Amino acid sequence: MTGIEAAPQPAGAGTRRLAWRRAEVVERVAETRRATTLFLDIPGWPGHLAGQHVDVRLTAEDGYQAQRSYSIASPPEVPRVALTVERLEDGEVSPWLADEARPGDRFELRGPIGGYFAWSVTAGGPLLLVAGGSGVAPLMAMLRHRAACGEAGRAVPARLLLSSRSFADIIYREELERLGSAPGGPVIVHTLTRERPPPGWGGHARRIDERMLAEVGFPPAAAPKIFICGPTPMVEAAADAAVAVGHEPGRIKTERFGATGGG
Amino acid sequence: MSREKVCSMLDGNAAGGLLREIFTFDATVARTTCAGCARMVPMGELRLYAIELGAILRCPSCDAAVLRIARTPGGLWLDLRGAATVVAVSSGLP
Repeated sequence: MTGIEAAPQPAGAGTRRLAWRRAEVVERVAETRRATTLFLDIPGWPGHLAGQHVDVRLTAEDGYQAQRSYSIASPPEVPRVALTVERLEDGEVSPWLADEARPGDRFELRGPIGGYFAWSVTAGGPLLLVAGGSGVAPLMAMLRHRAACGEAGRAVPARLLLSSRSFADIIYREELERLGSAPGGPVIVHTLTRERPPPGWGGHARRIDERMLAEVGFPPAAAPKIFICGPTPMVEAAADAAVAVGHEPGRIKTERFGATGGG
Repeated sequence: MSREKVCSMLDGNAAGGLLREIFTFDATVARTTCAGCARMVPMGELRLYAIELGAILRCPSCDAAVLRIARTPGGLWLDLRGAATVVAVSSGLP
């Protein structure tokens, strides 16, 4: 990537203007066959809330630009911003981020964006998180934030239902295990949708449905705050199931991403 | 532009960056009333169609176009005819 230029910031523009910044890759971690986490150094980063996202803009040598949105996977407590990117075939941005970007590489980024799909411990709970595939990224930021808040975090009951294609496709699997087995940790429930689960599998093995959500989620009377993130069909199904279980639509927040044309 | 480019997320929330080029407040939490059916939702909950050259944000209830944004050589073009009201609320963001 070349030709990176930050948008000029007029003097006295104030802090409310969302400027393009230069992000530098400082570390990359392979999460699964298709998902990679990039840890970024972003000079001037103003901080964020768990659940927020950034816009990433790549500029080719011929000036062609492509822009995509990615959720922040790191909690506000950690200075290095982390993005977990799943490579989409034929994508314009995700293949470079997931496969090519190396420490020292730079690209343009603006954020944090969106208070709609954001949560902090001070907002309370219970917290019901439902994710499909790399949709777990913003919800992981919430669980990491909860863990970083110590006692105040543990006071918020939290559950995560994560749908993955196969055991090998589970993003953050070991960290989720650690979080879940810690005292006061969140309840982590997995479901696998494509490949047969390994022997001794303690999770589910079908797509998310009403019965699963009723079993895993809090009762509607507990009035959980519900965040659902994943591919569009999965989000629609999970949101419909949550409403069918009896959860108030107004407490359900969704973030969809499409595998078609995106990436 | 030879390729159709759409955003990888399909809620109004994903257009938050574009909306911040227009509004000084966090529009994703701004309560927006559809002029067609009077349903009021946070802008982040509208359905997002296409982004980059612009965006169309549709009502999740009646599918009417509530906000239309186009990036033109002369600047950003905003059509708010589908929104009866937009109420900016504090999101408590940093």
